[in-house]
Amino acid sequence: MTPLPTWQRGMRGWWRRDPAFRRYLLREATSVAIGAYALMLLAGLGCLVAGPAAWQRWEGLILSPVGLLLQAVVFAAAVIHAVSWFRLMPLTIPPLGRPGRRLADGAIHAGAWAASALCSLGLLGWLVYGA
Amino acid sequence: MTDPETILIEVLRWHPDTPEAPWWQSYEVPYRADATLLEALQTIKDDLDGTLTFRWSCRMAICGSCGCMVNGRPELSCHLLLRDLAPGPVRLEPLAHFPVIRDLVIDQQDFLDKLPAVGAYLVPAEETEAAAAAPAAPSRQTPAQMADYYQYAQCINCLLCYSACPQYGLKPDFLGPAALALMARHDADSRDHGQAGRRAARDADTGVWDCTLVGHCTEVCPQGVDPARAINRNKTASARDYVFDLLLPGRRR
Amino acid sequence: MDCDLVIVGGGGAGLRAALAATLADPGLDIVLVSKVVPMRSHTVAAEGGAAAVLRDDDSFAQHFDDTVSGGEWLCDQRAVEAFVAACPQELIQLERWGCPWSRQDDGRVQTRFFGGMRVQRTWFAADRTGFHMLHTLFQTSLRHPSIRRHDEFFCTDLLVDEHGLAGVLGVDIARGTPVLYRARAAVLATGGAGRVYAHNTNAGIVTGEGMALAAVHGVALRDLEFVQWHPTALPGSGILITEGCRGEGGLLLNAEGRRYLQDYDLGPPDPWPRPRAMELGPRDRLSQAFWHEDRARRTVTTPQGSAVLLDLRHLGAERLAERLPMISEVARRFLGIDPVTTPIPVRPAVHYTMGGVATGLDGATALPGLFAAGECASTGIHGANRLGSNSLAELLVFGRAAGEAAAAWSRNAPSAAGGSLLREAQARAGQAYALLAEGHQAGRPRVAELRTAMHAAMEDGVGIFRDAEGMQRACQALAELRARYRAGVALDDRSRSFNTEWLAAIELGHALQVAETIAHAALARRESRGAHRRRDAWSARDDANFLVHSLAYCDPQAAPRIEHVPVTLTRSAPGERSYGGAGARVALD
Repeated sequence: MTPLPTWQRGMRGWWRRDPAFRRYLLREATSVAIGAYALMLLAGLGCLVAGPAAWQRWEGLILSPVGLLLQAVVFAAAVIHAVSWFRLMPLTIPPLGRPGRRLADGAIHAGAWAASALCSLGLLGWLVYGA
Repeated sequence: MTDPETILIEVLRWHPDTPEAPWWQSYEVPYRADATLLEALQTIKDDLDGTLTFRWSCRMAICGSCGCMVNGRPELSCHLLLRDLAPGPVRLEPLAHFPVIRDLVIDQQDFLDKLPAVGAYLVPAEETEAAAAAPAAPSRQTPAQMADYYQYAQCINCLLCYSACPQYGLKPDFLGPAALALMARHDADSRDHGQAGRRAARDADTGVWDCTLVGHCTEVCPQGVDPARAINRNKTASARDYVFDLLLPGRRR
Repeated sequence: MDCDLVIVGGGGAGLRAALAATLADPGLDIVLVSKVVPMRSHTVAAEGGAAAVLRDDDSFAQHFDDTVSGGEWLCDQRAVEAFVAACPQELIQLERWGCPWSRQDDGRVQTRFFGGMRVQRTWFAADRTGFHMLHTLFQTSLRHPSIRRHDEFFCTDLLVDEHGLAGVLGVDIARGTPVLYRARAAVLATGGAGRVYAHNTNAGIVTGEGMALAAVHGVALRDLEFVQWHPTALPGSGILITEGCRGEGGLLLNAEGRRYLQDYDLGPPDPWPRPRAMELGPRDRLSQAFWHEDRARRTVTTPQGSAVLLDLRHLGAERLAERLPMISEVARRFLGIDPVTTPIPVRPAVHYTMGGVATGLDGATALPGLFAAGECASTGIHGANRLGSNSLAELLVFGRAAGEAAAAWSRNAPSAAGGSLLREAQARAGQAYALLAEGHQAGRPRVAELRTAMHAAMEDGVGIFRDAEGMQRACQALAELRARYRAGVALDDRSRSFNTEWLAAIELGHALQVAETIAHAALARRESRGAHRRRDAWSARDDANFLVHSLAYCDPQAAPRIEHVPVTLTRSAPGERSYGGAGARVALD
């Protein structure tokens, strides 16, 4: 049989076609910001090892207006990251519990937020009282 | 607000006899608030332009024939009322990511070929030939057991999810949302014995790991199938099987 | 292309036939030709369920009696006996293949009441039974590569030689090229002809061409005058609101809020619910009751015509979500009504053609090698009125029978026809292409114009109630429409690629043939029985003269010739057909 003549439309600029695609790219992009933040912390660790002068230089950088702005961006990205991924979390977890009594999406979602709140508070408590 | 007399419907058209020249064509169609978009297309076909080509059949969102892009979003044309599209114009294109055969008709062969590839059928328990030829009684399955796959079994194969999946557009080999949801539908059925046979397709480059969880498939599904869930739960299963195979090499049949 | 067996139609009957043929003989080369991809077939839209004896309080004898009295003794009783005995096995088989039948809490299959059935006999998968059955069959067919699917190939004609069926002619829709399938066996599974009426519950593809294809080659069409109106469809669109609604306890109310069925020998309204009474009466009686209510102006007015009200409110949100999810969604989407709080306006619409290509119990027609199954066939099990949920069971039982018989036939068939077949194929294919070549010529009618005129003729003359004058008017109008059709239709579209206007024109030719046959068969039945109800001198049943099947022999140029042959009776003598009356209340579980 002769091949069917068809029109292939291509994917150029596909992310412009639907707001859902842009939300998806934004969600993915937040990992870049979070990765960059991790690198920044790693650099701080390196500076700490390198000595007080290096540490102060790093501290100055992150407390500079530009540094603070970048951290605000990272914080916003982290919030978007958490919100979007926690929302998707129930999709990625295999059914928990017995048939007919499966754990509801809401419970998984709430559990994720509770765990993250617990970790954040624990870290904060350790920073304030523990160290 | 009074209803408009007519509504403008713009269709992206293509014909294989003039492959270099897709064109937009506008039709002014009488407006009735409770008419469906499909009925508007039928009016065009019957009264205005017999060359406009589109698929349709059941008119009630169960046969899956009439999918197209409506103002950029994949929809069933039988499932949209003109009142929700007024005042228009309404822009119609063939379902995204598929090759176009003509006007709003897309080539669905790729999807049809993927159904056997994912093992989208139930594999019953092996039976003696006599028992298989004349089963005596239905097997039992509780409503709770059904709940584990029932949602995925609602797929009408309308392909809207493929048009909502940029991964499929970028990599047509990807088995895609509906086929992988049907894989999960059968894997999760307590009567099924075909899971081992579906593993290779699930774990392959074109299987669940090609999904980046855009999640739009689930948003556009007219039947609430939630393919994103089906696929991503199967990623967990795929990872689990990978680890177990590594630790217990003899496990795999 | 050579093959052993061609199956025309990829719906429930066609798929079941293909599976049966390949299971009977895995070596057989089977081609499944369908004008739509199988899961788009109209089986998909069946909602309520499929009948089979399952419960301890049921028996084959009861299923037989319900079916035969429901069909007002026009059923072929030998066929009904075979049918009811085979139903359970077929539904169990489907369960084995994965059909998600609704279940009881302990995991056993759930059944529900249906009109005219005295026991909960209807297996269902929520209110999407046809959808689940069709997808189960389609998915199972994927396991059998010996079934070669030709999706979106349109069958245009059959080829016949001195040995019988010699092949099937088709068109590859996407390419517009002709295809000849050279085979000695074919199964027609093309569905009904509901689209010859304006108001119907049917998908756009249900245009009756399978019946017309057989008729052109001299095969009789049986009992075509019996057209089923489903009593509950949406006004205007005709979208089906399943009988399962009433099986679950739904009520029908007129504009005054009265359960009007009690005024039509279906009452008393209490005790309720009660099988074979009130809302659980048969479809013919309910549709006829609507017609009277409408004439008495006790119907409500909607923008799309008059209606009565289907009240589901007392079932509650949870039960509606579990048992009738699609109906709830349809009401919300198309009417903006939530059935939890508001009754749904409904009216009758054409739903099913009880008659069809005359076949035996194995689907064989009078043309050697040609078989038929499903709605396009008439095995005689439905008689003058089909009971809801018998047709989904039928397409399995007789789809399988036809598939197995066709497989057996093709094994022993005479060798393929020679060169003369090719010449005939070219000549016959030429007829279809002539339509395309003639194209747009001044003064010719558009497809839609003729189709609308056909709808008007059928709704006017061959409706729920009929009289001689109206039927004659319809015969006359349809003869004229056929003459105009033969003189040529105007097509805007002259290209070959996916030309749906051209295909619609071919379908219209077949539909006109079937419509005219319905009208003539109706006119020739000078009595009233089941769905054929007359308001003239023949308003009563006449067993002395009309306990007969009609057989219509079609003529491409002239009106069909109608003959009558006796009905096969085995153990049920024609009696009074009674619904309502005394009866115990039952539990809906």
